[in-house]
Amino acid sequence: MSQHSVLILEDRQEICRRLQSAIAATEGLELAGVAGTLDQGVPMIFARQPRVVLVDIGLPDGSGIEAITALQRAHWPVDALVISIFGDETRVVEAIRAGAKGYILKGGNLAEVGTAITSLIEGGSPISPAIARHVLNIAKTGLPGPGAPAELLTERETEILRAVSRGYKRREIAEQLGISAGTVGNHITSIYRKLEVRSNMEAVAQASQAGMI
Amino acid sequence: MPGGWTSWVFVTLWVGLLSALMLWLTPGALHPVPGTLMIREMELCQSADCRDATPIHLPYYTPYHYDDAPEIHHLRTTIHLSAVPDRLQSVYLPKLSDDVEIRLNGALVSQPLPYRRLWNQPLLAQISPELMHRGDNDLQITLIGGIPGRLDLHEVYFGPVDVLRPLYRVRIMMGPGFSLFGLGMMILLTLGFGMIWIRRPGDRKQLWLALCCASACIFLAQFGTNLPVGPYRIWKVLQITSLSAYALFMLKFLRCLLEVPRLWLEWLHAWLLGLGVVVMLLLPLRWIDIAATPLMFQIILTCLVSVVLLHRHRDRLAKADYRVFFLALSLSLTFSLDGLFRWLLPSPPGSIHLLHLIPLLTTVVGLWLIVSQLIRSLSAYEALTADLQDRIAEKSRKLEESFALQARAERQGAVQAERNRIMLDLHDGLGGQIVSTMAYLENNDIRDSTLRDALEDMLRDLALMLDCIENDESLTTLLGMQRTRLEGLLDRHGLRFDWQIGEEPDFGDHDPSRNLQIARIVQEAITNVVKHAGASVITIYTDQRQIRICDDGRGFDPGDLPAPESPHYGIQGMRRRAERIGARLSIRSSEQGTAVSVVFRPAPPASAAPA
Repeated sequence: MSQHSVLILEDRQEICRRLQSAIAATEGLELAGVAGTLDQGVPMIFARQPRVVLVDIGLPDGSGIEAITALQRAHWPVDALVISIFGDETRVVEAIRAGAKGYILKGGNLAEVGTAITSLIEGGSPISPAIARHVLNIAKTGLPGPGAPAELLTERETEILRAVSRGYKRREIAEQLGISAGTVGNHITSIYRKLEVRSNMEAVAQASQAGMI
Repeated sequence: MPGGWTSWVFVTLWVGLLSALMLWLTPGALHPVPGTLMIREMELCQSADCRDATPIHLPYYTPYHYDDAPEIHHLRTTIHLSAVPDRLQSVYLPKLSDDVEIRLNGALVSQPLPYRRLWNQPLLAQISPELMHRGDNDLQITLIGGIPGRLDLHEVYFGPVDVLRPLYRVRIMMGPGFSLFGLGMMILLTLGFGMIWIRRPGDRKQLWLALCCASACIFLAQFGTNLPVGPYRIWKVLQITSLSAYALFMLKFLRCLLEVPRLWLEWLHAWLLGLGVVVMLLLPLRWIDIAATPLMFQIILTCLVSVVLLHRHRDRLAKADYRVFFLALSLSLTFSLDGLFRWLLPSPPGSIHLLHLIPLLTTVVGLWLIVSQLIRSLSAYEALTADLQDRIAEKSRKLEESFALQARAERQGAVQAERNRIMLDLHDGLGGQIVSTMAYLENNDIRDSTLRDALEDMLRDLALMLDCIENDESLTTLLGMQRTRLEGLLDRHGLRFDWQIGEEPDFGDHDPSRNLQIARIVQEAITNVVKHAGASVITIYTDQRQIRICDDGRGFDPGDLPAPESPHYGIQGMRRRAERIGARLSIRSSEQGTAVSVVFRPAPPASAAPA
């Protein structure tokens, strides 16, 4: 299994240590470096060219979003993930608009942190009830300007999103609809594609642009 | 020429009816007057001394003559008086032409005046009783025609002057009186419509009306003043031309008013008028009246077409306008027909001209037009004002709403900004500290479960508050987020959710505080199950009216005294929270498990407000 290098941009030392432990405990991940400020972090990113950058938004010398924006100039494949406490704050959405692929929770256990990183690298993304509701709102009202959805959601896709927004898990939705959990995931992927976004989380970013979030 | 045979038939019948009515009424018909002698029979003398006389019946008309020498006809009659009157007497001639000399018993009582033509004016000659004697009195009336044409004399009255003078004045009013009044009105309307047209050149209606009134001024001056204007030829040309032009301009006015395309009849009328005038000016004098006859017929035709046009396009006018116009125009046509008959018939009925009344009808039409436009303008002004006021009121209301919305948005913006600041502090400050502390415990392998549980509870509580703020529109989404937060806890205690979230509960207005109360009840109920129930499944159920949290644990006795560590202690708090949001907390517990329900009361009707 190939190793994915991970660089951490976080100012709280205890959290840094914990994330390092999580990376060390996860197969396929290796630590590329640790920085506590933007001034240290951005040059380190371009020097070490990691596959994944874990970015805390609230850094002492500025917003982590600046680092995510800087990644647009990267000439190697790199994904930015926001280190979030709750996974739903407004600044996470702003980060996604800037190009972040998703988020990981600071407070989760070690196994959860490692799994979340590898899952995001492979293209998967969690969808919380709150995000599902925002997508439903977007489909109902439409997005203004460029990037508006070319077609409306199908009845099945709306059904799935409504179930997610009510707290149902993919497995439960699959049982209710008599389909597999993978099909539910495919539907969610299809929903994001209809929203004409590059990744799952950018759909949420567009919703934010339209003032939906 | 306007089509529509029904209009032609209707107008023809209507004008025929009016003409018949006019014939039956015979305006100006002469009747005996009590206290006076009405003379119907006279003798036409062959010479001035009246040795040879022929009996005639009044009214008497002479044939048309075109000689240069004045036309003179002597008429006489005998008035027998049983006694000489003691008061002033008079001879009253209601209708004659052109001038007259009157002698009683050889004494001159009225003599002709130069440049006077009485063709449209009565004559009242006062006679002193001294000129009369008992028995037969000789009355001689000499008709004098100074210009071509024909002479006439209608019934003659002899009697007291104070009896006949009122009749004379009425006739004066009907003849030159109305003519002069009409002339004055026409001059004013010519100026009025002309000025309007100068100010608004695009409105051709005003031009045609002004020209119409100006044309009427010419023949009204002839009808009203009794003064000959130049030679007979010029007088006749002016009369025919003005009447013809009047009819043509009236047609043009109507065409503009009704927005009808130009009619070929207008060209025909204009060409015929021009040709007729030239012919009348060039032909020998004796043919002049014959040359004028086609023009008279043309005037009648143009008037008829005007009335038909008006009737055919009556839907383009307001009903009141149409009625006034139609009545005036059809009466004008009837009066024109009367003029034609008076022209053509050797002994026409009636003793009064009606043509000079046509401009009075035009005056009515013109004044009506002005008044109706004024009324319409006032109505439009009032409607516009009302509409403007409505718009101002509407705009003011929208402006107030806009200001209110702006103020609310500003307030909401300020609240949101403050909320964001607090949330940011909670995230980065409090949340960051808790997570950092939890990481410290983990990094240093400090296995203090009490401390760790407390920190996890704090983190969950913080997440709960943030979720309530960010998901205030949907309670089911809030419950979904709660599930996401609590699943790790349930996993650690060997529990799982049986998620049965259905309809969105309807409990009135959503707001973060209300949501937080509900979320805390749900969280307290779930925590109680985790801590005390020994259950394996927690079922969360919702419908429109309730949220229910059930477990398959051991249950408890709701009647037991509450202790701080027992679930009863938390139940008191849950009950208080439910009451605070107007809901009811229901708890059922048995050995098969416990069900905690938050039941929302239906909103009370507006009339049932609490006292």
